[in-house]
Amino acid sequence: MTQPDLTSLLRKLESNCALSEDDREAVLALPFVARTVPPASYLFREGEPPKHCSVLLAGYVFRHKIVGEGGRQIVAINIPGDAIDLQGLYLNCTDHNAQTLTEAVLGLVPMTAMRKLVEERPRVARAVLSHVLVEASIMREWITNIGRRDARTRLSHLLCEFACRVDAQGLGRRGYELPMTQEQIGDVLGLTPVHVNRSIRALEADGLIRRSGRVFTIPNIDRLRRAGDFSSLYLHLHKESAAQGPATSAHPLNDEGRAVWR
Amino acid sequence: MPRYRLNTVDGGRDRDAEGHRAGRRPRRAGEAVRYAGAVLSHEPQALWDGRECRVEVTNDTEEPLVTIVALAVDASAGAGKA
Repeated sequence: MTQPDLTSLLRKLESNCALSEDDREAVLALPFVARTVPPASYLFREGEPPKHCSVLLAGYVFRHKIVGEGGRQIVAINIPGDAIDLQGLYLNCTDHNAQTLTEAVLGLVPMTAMRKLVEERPRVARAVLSHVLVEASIMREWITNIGRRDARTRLSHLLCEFACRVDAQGLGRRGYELPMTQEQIGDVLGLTPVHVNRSIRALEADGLIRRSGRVFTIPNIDRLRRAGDFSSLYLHLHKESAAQGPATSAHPLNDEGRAVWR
Repeated sequence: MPRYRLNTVDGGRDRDAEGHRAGRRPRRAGEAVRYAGAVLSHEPQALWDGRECRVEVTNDTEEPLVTIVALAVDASAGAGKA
């Protein structure tokens, strides 16, 4: 890996809010420490005060809550480029847990530095708010997914979302590694691992996905999108032009490949 | 640690390849009931056409431990109307 920097955080913040050159430089000048963390490590636990704004430079992270009987609900998956705990920017304690799925490289920005940046730069503040709002939008979609869709549709939806997000980050288009066990996928979808296994094999049998270990290939994205009742609207992947202000359409392009997602 | 499997039989046999860590019997049976309930909830067609849906809990050597059976039976007044 080359010398880590905060370019991925800048790209994420600019995905919903155009920044000036000064704002960009201020984001890239944030103090941070790069840290490599092994798989399954806790980044923070429920009840702890937020210390850092972690930017995921490489690897995957999941956020979860544990219920009284010990069951786990995974409430978010973070991919490279995501800022993991911007939701805790002005909160006194974290309300969920975060763990690495894979080995991960994190850029740890002190919360105080992030707060100062946000307070001094309104466009950055708007970008951070947009980021948090998109996370809330994804949360609404996940609630809908596990509350009102059947197992096959839930799984198809998750696979579409993951494909869409890794594509947006330039990490893969027609296939990707989903670095999760079937138990973890079940904890995202509110299903038992054996039900996840059954659903994966049903999608394979229908030709909607191909799988080799944890690498999923999607032969026909549009078919999987229909099976998953998936529209990427809630991901708000449209970019705002600095000159135009907020984008007016979530489906700006219809070119080959990306058209199926947007 | 020994493992147990939750195999589904509804038309074909859907073998649980990964299995689960074995717990106490009530917990295994509870898992099987929850799984059978989920399959029926998500795939009600599993019981159409007079088929039955079974979830068989087996140990690592495929010996049956618990079986959950669900089937729909037409009552005479409702025959052919469901």
